[in-house]
Amino acid sequence: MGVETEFYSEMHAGDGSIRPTYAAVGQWMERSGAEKLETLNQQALAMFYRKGVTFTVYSDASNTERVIPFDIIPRIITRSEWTMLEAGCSQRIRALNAFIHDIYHKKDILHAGIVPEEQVLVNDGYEPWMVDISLPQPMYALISGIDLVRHGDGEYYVLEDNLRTPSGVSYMLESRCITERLLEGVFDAEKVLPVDGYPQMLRQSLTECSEKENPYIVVLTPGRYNSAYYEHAFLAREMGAALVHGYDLYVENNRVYVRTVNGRQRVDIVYRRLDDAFLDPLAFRPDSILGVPGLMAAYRAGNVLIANAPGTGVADDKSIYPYVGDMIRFYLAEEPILHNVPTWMCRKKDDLAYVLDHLGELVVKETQGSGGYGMLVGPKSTKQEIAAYRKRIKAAPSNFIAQPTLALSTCPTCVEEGIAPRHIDLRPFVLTSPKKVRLSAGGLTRVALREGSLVVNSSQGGGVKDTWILRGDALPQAKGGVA
Amino acid sequence: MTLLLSTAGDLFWLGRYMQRTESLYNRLFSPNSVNAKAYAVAMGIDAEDDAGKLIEHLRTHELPENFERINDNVQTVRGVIDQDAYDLFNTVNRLRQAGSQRAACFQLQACHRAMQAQEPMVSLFWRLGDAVENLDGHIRFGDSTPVHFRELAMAATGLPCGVAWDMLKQPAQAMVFNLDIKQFRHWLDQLNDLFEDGV
Repeated sequence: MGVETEFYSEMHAGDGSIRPTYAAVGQWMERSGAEKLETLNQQALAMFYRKGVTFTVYSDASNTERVIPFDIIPRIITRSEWTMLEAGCSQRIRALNAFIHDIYHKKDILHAGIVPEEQVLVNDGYEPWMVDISLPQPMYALISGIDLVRHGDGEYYVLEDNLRTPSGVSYMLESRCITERLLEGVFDAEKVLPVDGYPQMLRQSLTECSEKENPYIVVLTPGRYNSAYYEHAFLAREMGAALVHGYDLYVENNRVYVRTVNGRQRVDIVYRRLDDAFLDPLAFRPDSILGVPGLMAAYRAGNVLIANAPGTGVADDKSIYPYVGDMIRFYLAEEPILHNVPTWMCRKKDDLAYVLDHLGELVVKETQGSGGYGMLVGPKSTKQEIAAYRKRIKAAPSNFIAQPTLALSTCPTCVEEGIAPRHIDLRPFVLTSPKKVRLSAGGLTRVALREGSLVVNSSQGGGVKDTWILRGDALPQAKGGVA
Repeated sequence: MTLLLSTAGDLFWLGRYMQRTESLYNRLFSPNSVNAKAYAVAMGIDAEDDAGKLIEHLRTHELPENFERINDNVQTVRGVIDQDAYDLFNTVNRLRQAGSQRAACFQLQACHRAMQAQEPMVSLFWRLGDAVENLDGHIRFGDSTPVHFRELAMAATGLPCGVAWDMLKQPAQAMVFNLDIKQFRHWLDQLNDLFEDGV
């Protein structure tokens, strides 16, 4: 990774011309004008509001439920680029699954000295309950989200892997619904890969993992106050699975059952959307009222599949992230297709010294953090904020990593001031089964709506865009106006 | 898809609170409204002496609380009701948040129609709650008729097959003829136990 300070524009080439990929959209934008685009954005917002496409912000005193902002201008990726990203994400997940299996069994990668033992075995995400469990298939991260950014050099980099309970897929699907409704004449379903098959793809992938012909699947939610509850209900409905709370399930003779109006029903797959710690009060946090007592015993007995498996969190810890390239070489004997962002690990003395000397230039993150919380964006922080963060790092260096401030690519976005470039990332969703690794076509593009902001998380002022993966390398010229 | 027992219970209570809210509105704010104190006494609400204050209490506390409970139940049944029904309930929320409780009550009637059009088992448990609350309300106001008992019996007859549910069907039909309020209370306890303890 170079030190490019220029941002890569998804729409415009270096000479200011519109890239062929965006030609049709560019024409449509010019024809429509900012005012029309703003009207479409308002219509989109109203549609999200009416459908209840919301998330909860925990930083608000009242845990406010908000509608996620949507931007009408799509992000477009060519087929050839997507083919590379697909191969890269697939490769990464195969290696990460092999890593998770290894660290709970033979620990070859630790013995080979490729990943330090102490990084893994005392990691908060490492789950001793998983040691030596023989799963029918060595699959752990069945549903993953890989956060990608395009740097100033035009290359894609992996920002982080999300292997616990990645969310956002419902926004991807709802965004496409809006595009289809509002961009008639510009959006051509025959030229863009569809995304609407995701729920059935998820069902199929889980089914393949369970090795049952017609498994009974439940989506286990912590409840309506969870920030992603909308998504839990959405996926359950679209997959034809039951949306359950912990109190709906019970375990008897190491088998999991759900209480239905017709009596009990044996459960084959639990697609859980709550953290490991809350899954089973007999195995993890004893005060958890969200989980199911005995669930881990049923899992160990091979009577139920939990997706994702407990203990996958160790592999998406930010302190493990720097080793993913080595994992790919070690387990797959391949060279990584996707780049990692250079990372300084504050637990290392030299790295720590560098980080402390360059706090104003770096992005520093908690190794167990997520959602954009608890991080320091050096160039955007005040002296006081940097000083306070310095104290935190010094108090517990191993809890932090640092990376260069990335020049996230920009995409034209309809904002209050008109149409302006805003930084974006991309989260493709990866489904893993013994038969194949499947990806949603594109994934979720998140956009930082505040000028200059590099934080795309919805909880911190980010919005979403529809992501178009072209069947070819350019979209034909627009045929007409918009609806 | 087999309906979860807890979801069936939530649908039942959704039906009850919707009916209770519509009834509150109709009995208090319609042309043929009853005296506010009579309403409070019938519904077991702590009654203020001042009728104006009581009306205000019902408008600012009782009605919003009912809407809150409707919303709670809608959220928990979100996985089994269709998007159109959810859209309509969402509009109820928007209207009441905008301070238009009257419009929210009207909107509830649209939700009523939407719930009747859900999958049969989803509609059934919602309808059971609606019928129970309707009958209970009329009993409290002393104007229950065989029609109200019949509505309950029709909903109960559609309950799933199985020993536990079957035990509720015959008594519900018998009540159409004997109009026995004591039996209704006992029947309701049995139903609540079933939701609580399982089938």
